Amino acid sequence: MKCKEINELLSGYIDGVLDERERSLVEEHLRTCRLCAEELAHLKASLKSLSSLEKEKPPPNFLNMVHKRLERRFSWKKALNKLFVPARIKIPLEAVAVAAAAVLVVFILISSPSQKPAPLQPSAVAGKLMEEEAFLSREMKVTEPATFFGARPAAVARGPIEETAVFAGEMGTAEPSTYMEVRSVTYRRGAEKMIELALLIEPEVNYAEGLNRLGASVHQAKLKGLREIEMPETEKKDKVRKSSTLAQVKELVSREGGKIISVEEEAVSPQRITVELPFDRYESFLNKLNELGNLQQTGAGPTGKDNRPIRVRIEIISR
Amino acid sequence: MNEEVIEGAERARKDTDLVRAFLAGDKVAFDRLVLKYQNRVFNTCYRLLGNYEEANDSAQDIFVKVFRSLKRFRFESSFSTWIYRIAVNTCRNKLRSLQYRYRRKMIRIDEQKDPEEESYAIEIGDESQSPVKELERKEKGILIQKAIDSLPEGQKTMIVLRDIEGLTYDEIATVTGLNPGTVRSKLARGRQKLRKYLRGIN
Repeated sequence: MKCKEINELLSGYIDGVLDERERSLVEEHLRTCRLCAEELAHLKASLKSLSSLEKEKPPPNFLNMVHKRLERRFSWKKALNKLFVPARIKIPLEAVAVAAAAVLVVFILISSPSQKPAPLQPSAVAGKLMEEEAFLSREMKVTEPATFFGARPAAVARGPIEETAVFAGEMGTAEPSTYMEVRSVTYRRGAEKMIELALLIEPEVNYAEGLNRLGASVHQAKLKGLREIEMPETEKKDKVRKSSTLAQVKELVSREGGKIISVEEEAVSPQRITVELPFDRYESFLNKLNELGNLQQTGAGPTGKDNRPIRVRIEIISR
Repeated sequence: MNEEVIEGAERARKDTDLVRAFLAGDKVAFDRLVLKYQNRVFNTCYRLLGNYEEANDSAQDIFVKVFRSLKRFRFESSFSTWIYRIAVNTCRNKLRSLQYRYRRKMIRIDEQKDPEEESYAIEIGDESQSPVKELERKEKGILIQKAIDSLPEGQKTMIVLRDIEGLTYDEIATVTGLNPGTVRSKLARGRQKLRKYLRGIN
């Protein structure tokens, strides 16, 4: 065995903690290796130096010092305890965490700039908006989410108005019907002005053209692998008519330099389209729209106090 | 040997009696425990920290901890190893916080190891052979303490507990939570290192 390995065993050898094999190895090596024997002697001398070190003693008043420290600590602790006596109810850490998270969320929501109320609108518009909110948030007849014609729960969020329109279809057992309703509409108050129009259309208008459109949309639905559902003939016609009027409205909007905000195309009755028009084109848009059917304004018109784009919601209703 | 064992058992029984008395509300029992262990605790602190004031502070701290945690003493180990464990842990934490503060003040012998190890050893050797042959006990003690200070924390603990405080390997294992094999190898390495440092003065 090498000297290095023996050296590592010398400490245990001095203390008598080596096993029999190790001890005999060390003893055998020491008989022949002078260097390792010297090393052992040095090591023993070092240990002797250590054990002969003077014992450092604490100051004579050590016990008093401990007492003082205890008093200081416990009187401080007592004071703290007194201070917090009423609050010594144990609250689970989880509950504290949940409460803190809730406070944080509320704080973030309150301080979020998107939620800050906009400046107040002219009272007529504001009043209209409140009416509208009340009307639209009314709970309507809803069943399971519809798959009809690929209708999906549609979330529309544009500009200051935030709508969540969920469509639902009600399937009769004998004859499938096609009711689609707006389930809920959420308005953000104080939004910009919104004009509500109703366009009453005649049954004959563009029937043939509309039928082609319906065919196309049924075909599309098939392509998408969606369920094809039988529709009563009268409702088919109604849908055709309105979809063609809708197409015309869309065309008109683009001609007048406006843009389409949202379309509730799958709703059978009433069909709605929300558009935004430049302020100066609003009048000509109205005139042209009037040619498509009987146009009625259900709410207040534009106030004309600023030149911001005008938002118009048109309901296409068949007579 | 047999007498030592009996004596140890007797001591342990006395300790547990004192602990029980303290837990029963006898505050004097705590004082008796302090008086009984203050020298050992203090010396351990001093050897581990290498500074009288820090040792004093830590030793007081240890007895405050003892006072506070005696109610959790389970009588499974001896009171002696239990208090040593508190002492070693307290000093270890202290050392770690002191390391930064004393980085500049402390002269680490092992820093001079590589290029100057020989010259350092010779320097001490020269002194031992020179007119300073009769190094005063205290001066020698300071040198030994410096050598202890220079050891890595783990090895230092082994040396202090075994070679200064005289604990057995098993007791050291209980105090440090290491297995006896590790205690043996750490101690061996610490002793070898220490022997190199102390070569000149032995």
